[in-house]
Amino acid sequence: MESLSLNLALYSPEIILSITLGFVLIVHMISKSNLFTFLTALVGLVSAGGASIAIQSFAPQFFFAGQLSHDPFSLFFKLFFITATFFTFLFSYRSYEIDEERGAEFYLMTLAVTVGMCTLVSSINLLSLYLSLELVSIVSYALAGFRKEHPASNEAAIKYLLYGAFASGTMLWGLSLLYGFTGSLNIYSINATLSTNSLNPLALYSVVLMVLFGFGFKISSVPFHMWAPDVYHGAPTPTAAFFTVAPKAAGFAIFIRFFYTVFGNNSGLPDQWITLPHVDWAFLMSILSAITMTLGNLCALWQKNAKRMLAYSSIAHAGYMLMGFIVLSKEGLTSILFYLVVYFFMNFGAFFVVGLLANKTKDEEISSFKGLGWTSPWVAFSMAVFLFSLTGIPPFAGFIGKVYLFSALVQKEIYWLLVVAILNTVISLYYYTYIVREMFLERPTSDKPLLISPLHTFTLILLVIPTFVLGLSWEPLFKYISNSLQFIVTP
Amino acid sequence: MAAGVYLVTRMFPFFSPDALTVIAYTGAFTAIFAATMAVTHNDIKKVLAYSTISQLGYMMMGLGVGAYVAGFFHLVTHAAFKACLFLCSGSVIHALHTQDMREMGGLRKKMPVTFATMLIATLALSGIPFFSGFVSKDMILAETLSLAMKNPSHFLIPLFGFVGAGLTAFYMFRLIFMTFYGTPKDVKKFDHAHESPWVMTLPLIVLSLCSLAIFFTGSPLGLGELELFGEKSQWFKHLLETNSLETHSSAHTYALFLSLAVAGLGIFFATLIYYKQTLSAEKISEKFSSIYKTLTHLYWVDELYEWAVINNLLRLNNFLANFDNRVIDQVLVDGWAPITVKTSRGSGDFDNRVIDQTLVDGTGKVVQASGREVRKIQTGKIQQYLLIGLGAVCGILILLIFL
Amino acid sequence: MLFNFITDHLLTWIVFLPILGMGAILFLPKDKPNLIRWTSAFFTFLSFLVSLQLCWSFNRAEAGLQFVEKMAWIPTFNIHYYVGCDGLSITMILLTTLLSFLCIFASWGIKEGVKGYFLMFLLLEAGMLGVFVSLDFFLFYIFWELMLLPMYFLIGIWGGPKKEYAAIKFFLYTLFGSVLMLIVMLSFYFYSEPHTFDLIELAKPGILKVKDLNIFGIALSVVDFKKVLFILLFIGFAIKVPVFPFHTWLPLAHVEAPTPISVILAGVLLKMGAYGLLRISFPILPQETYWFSYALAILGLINIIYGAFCAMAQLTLPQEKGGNDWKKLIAYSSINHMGYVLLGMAVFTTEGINGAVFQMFNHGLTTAMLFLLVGVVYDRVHHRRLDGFGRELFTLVPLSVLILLFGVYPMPVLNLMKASLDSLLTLLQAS
Repeated sequence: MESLSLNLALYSPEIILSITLGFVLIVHMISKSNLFTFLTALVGLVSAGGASIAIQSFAPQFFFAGQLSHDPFSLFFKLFFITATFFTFLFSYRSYEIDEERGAEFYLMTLAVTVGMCTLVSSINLLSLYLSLELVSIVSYALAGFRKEHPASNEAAIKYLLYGAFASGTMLWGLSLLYGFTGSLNIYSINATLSTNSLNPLALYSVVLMVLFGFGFKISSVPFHMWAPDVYHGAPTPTAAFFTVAPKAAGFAIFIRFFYTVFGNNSGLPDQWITLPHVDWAFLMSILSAITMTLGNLCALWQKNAKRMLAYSSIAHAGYMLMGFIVLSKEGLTSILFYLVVYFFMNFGAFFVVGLLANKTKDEEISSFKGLGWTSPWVAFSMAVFLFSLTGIPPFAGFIGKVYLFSALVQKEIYWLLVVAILNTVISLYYYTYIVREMFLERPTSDKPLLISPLHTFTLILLVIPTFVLGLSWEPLFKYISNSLQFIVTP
Repeated sequence: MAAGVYLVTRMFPFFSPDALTVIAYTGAFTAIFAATMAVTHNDIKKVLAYSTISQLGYMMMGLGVGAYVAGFFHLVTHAAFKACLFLCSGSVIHALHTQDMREMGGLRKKMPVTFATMLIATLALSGIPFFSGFVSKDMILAETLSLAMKNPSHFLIPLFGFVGAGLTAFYMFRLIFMTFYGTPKDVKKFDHAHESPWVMTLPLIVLSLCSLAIFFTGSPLGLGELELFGEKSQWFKHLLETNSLETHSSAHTYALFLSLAVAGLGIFFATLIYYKQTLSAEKISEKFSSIYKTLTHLYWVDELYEWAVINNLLRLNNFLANFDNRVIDQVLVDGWAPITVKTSRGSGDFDNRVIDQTLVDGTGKVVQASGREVRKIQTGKIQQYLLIGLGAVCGILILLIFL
Repeated sequence: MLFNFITDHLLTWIVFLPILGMGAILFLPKDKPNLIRWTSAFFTFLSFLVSLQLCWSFNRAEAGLQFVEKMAWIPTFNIHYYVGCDGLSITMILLTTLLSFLCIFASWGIKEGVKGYFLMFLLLEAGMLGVFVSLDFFLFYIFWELMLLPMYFLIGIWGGPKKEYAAIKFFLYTLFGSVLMLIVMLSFYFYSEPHTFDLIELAKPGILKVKDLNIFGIALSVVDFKKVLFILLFIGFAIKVPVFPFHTWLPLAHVEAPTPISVILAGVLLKMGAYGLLRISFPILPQETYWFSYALAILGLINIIYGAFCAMAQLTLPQEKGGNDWKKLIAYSSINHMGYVLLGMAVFTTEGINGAVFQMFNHGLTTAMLFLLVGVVYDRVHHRRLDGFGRELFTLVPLSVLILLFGVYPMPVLNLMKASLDSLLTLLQAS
């Protein structure tokens, strides 16, 4: 019993989220008022967040019979997901795309995705990994098609579903091959077998590539990114914002955990890894990283729709973050985690402003930003902050995130990728400033300011302040992230 | 004029012995050449002008033989008495309204101050003791003599020098006699003549006083050490930190007497011809008509010039002027203007078109165009998306097989 | 007590007074433009006063850095708030505070978005001053980039007809330069032992231990790698100077920017490139700089001749081909003058660098005044066509035109002459 209660305690964030899920349904049935379901969901999220902070005191360990791992790494991501969901709910409240009476539905599904993501980041077993990944995916398909009456939303859902099914099928094939090769589902024992028995590199490569299809789909890296612009474009803006942040982070988390554990080994030096012999997936990924960021940025140049542009930009940012992934060092991983946090604030913020504007204009065309700086200077200012931060210009947080990614590359002397990334930064400035130009350099057509609710004002402030502050004083966050990187706990 | 001498003096340490020799010969030749020209001229100012050239020759000669102190000293003394002479001639011309000495004569009584001052200056120029010219010229001649004594092959330098000194005394006294003695040739002009006002005579007096040796040397005879400008005061020593080429030899004594002798000889002949008129100038000139003609025609120098200038030089000049105008100025100099304008236009255009529009904006356009092209793979067809994903997986695998 | 509080942190005060001013303006009502103008004038004046105090208490007899303040900022990344100044920076600080103060008055004619304009202006001033006092590379970089943002808005919102194009071109171009600098900055940090961003520390011999590099099998020896680093850094600064062929943002930005911003661009921003070379390239990569000095001299010469020709093209080219613009003429003359600065630096002697710094300061003043003058003329006649002025210009602003135009042309008595001559003379000595 002691063991069961401990296990349950370690799983408490997910349990609380699941209970909240139920409560949301109940409250929705009783009150019919969106406000109460909204508050219920928020309370649930806050308590789940509290729980994940509380269980930090437990020593890192495996639980549920070695299915899941309790470690600072997964806790960091759980907190991240819960925060992201929290902001998504704030965003969705009174959004024109999320109908009042269907609010509960939205909370329900998003919470389900969160549960899936939280489980995913602590999975150390192929089975739990696949199951939680599917939980994330399947609910996401439904979320993308949330606006039933909207053709683009339906199209997004079906594309997402088809692509996702194909991707997870391929990944499942790869995972089963892995099981066939090693006879184990636990990623640690798989790694042990792979490191001792020399397998045909080509067979291993095909496994790597198949798994990559599944994970690459989640983080939207080239060449598995094709779904992303269409889905982000069609999905409701709060969902799109959520998709570009949370599932992407989950993808990175499992990417890191899986690849570093299964296909990598400690190099003997502290906090340094090497790939399995003959399977240089790091180099492969570095090329994919370069292509991803370049392609994302180039495609974003011509977009006239803000959401679509941000979708491409999120692809480019996946490419940036992959730079931290391929250096095989703790510095690289720290920089990814750091960038994810920063990216959350700035990218979510940018989507948020797009959504605020869309609530008024009912579309997300960039031209609707025209003159926003003259009518609603503070909103436009916040947008400019998010966009410049996305570009990576000091003194905003995005710059610091990039500096850490770049310095991971410099430390490993991978200069070619650094040069690619830096040129991409310059390209990205062009399309980010496109919106800034519309907002400030163009004059407004009407001088009616944008009306936003106090809740949304509050949310905007909550997003802008970290984007600023993390650009000037990021030491505490950095330390916290450094401590969170103890994910490979020895059994 | 003084500038040239000054320049040579200043640059003295730079000249090699060979260069100095050339300077010495040039000076000696100039001295005698100009002196001979001064002998036959009747224009009072021209006589003085040639005399000046001759004296500059002395200075150069002095510098050339290494007596830079003497040379420069002569420049200083010469400045005073030659200025005095010119002013005196001015005074005479002012009185008679003519420059021709043949129309003068007998002015001694009418213009006593001018006469006295001019006589003093003339004595100085002729190198008579008590006067400054004696001191400086004697120093130069002594040096030339000592040079020739050391190196007899250079005998021409002192020869020219002493003959020149004799000629100097001759033509200067010729001037004096023709102007102030004898009978007035042009009575009408003579009657009008009178002594100049004090503003004109005062400078004459001052300058004539400056032509006295005592002013420079401190000893009235002018035989002592150079007090004011000489070695004692070390003025020139400070000017020229050089190993002195000067010689302090017995040549000084010979030179003293020799120069006195030639000066005396010159004065003697002048007296004979122009004062006593025991010898007729006309007769002499007839006797030596070719020489006389040569001298009156200034060694045909002007004619030579004329021939060269009229026949060739002017033509060359015209040609060169044309060349200068058409080629150098209009093409080579003014040509720069259109070239500069064109270059500026070209570089402005280059900057706009090539650097800015092609290279800089071109980079941006390439990026934009590639964005436009790359975007086309996003067709919206899910089958294609899947195909690309799967194709990439298979493609990479195939690549790995071949690698 | 208060006085001590100021005098102990002079540099910090200079940099952050404009930011305090921003805070003050933020709370002022939008519909009181004069109040906003006077407030910004007040704060820039305060900054100018403090910089005068700085000059006054600066010990000329003492070499090296003074007024140093050092505080840990991000200990895990060894970043410090590290500021200080020497003779080089003090010149630039004085130039910046003076021009900023003057430009506030030149900005009086801005009627639209006054609040935003002065907020951006003060941010720009803070950024520029920050660059000149920073002794920590990271801090330097932050200030360097910080300046881009307000500049983009100032050109883009309050500029001329092609302001949007000019603004984004300036932004992209200079960002390109500074990201190259970012590579070098990070390389310096990771190759230095112990890792540091401290510019003074990095300049000490033996701190920077660059290693051989291997990119895709292509070996790059330490010597070559350091040269590559130098070139990257140089391009970063060259874009700001600007050195041919990285100069084309400059005529455009100068022409399109509002008058006071043209003044700041020409007066201060161009100096930052040269300042960066002197502050970072010269001390930290001396051998590479020396290796490059010949090329630097040639680039300087190209700048001089090419800039002069392009300036002259404004007289010879018709308007539709991009000529006939007074502001552009001055912009190209700035390229020309910065060539002298490069030349002075390239000779690698004390006199040369003195000449370069002197030239920087003087050119800052002279060109600033020229741009102000063009601004005045433009205000009166509403065009900048060179063939469209004629005699009436002399009746408008007679004396100042003459004095200033001769100032740009190196003429005795006027200040640029001495500086140009310094540069040239040392070049002769060096050759």
